[in-house]
Amino acid sequence: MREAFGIIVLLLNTIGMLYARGTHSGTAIVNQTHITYASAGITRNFSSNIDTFVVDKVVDIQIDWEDAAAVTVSAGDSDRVLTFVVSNLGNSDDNITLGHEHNATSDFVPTHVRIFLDDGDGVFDSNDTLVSHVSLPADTNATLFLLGDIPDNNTTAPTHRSLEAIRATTESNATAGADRPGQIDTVIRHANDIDTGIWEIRDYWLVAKKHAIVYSEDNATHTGTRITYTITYAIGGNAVGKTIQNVILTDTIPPGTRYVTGSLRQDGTPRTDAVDGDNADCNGTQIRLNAGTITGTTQHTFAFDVRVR
Amino acid sequence: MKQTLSALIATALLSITAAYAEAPKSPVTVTTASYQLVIKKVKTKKGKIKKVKEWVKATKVVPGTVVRYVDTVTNNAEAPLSSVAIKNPINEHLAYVAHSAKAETNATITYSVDGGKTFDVPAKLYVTDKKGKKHRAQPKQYNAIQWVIAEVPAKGKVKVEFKAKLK
Repeated sequence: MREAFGIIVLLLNTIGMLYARGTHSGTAIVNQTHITYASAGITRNFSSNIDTFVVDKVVDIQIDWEDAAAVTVSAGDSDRVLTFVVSNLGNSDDNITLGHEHNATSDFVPTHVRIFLDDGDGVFDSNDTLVSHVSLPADTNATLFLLGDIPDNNTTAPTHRSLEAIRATTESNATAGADRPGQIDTVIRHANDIDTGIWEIRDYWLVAKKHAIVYSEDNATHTGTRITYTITYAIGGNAVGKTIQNVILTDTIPPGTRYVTGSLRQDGTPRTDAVDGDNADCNGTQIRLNAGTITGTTQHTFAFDVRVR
Repeated sequence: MKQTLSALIATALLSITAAYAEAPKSPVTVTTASYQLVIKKVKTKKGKIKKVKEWVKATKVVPGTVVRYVDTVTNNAEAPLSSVAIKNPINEHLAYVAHSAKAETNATITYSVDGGKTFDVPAKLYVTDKKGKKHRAQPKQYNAIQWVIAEVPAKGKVKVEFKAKLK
């Protein structure tokens, strides 16, 4: 008895209610008309026949990937999770087959991919159930977790993506042939649906940050106040031994300021403003640095000065 | 023996037929029927396929389907019927389609939001929300319709109808 109670609670927690999508299949819609009339001064009443039809079953399956953005993972990770919600938008209980589909355009292939049904807390944990299908009452949904292991990554590309989908397919079939008055026929609106989630390995990437120093005794800016802008750039993430090529930084001189001629500096070393032999220039409204190749964990800077107009 | 039995059966059949013919016909009959719109493909004389809308008996109904109800009042008597009020409740799973109530003849059409206890014109129908605030009733909140017809002629028929969408 205690076990039975536990099962009921689990089901209620697992399956969320949606807003009503319609009258439940099998509902009998009954109509009867009544008339009143006068004849020879006497009021009489009559009722019509009773007209009845039965609401047919609509199958309408939907699945949605729920993570807000690509889920960042690392090479060699185990049991990484993508979150989906499968919904029964029909007007009858439905059994739904769940299947994983790997998109061939992916950069890597996860292994040991499985689908789990959430126990109702919205978080993957040991209480969730490995599933290949779910039974959903009408107007309900359920959270699913797609789990997979991320392979060791030997490639030199900074970012890799894996596109992994769950396809949800009804186990109901449309009623074949002519309509059967008085019986529940099945009408298919959406027999299946698929949505794709993304695992992304961001092994290393380019990081750039900009900060300003205002040279003013009262910390306020006045006409003529000098401001130094410094852009710090480096490899983020797993930077050791990594290289990023063809790094180009550009920035616009802020409105209300004027560029201080000859103030460009890369890693503290002056650079000329002209488009010439060095790797930086400024045309008065925009500065540009061709930083070339950066490697490892070294941080670099690119700085310029402006004065408030 | 065989002939005697046949004669008895024939006599019995005659009696049943006579009894049926003598049953008094109701002076008034009223019927109701539900229909749904389908699109059928028909072949024109020129051999082209044309789509035609047709109201057929409502059988394949799913949420969102518009159902058309047609009520027919038949006066079987030799005298006209006067002040005929036809009341059709709207099933709780249906939402009345605005302006769809009609009659073949002049009729005063009113609606109810209290299950058919009272009827009035739309401008005078109000419902109270959960906070106790009164609002003008929306057509989908009507739960009965009434047609009042001054007279149904002797041996005549009158049809009224309305449409409602399955919730």
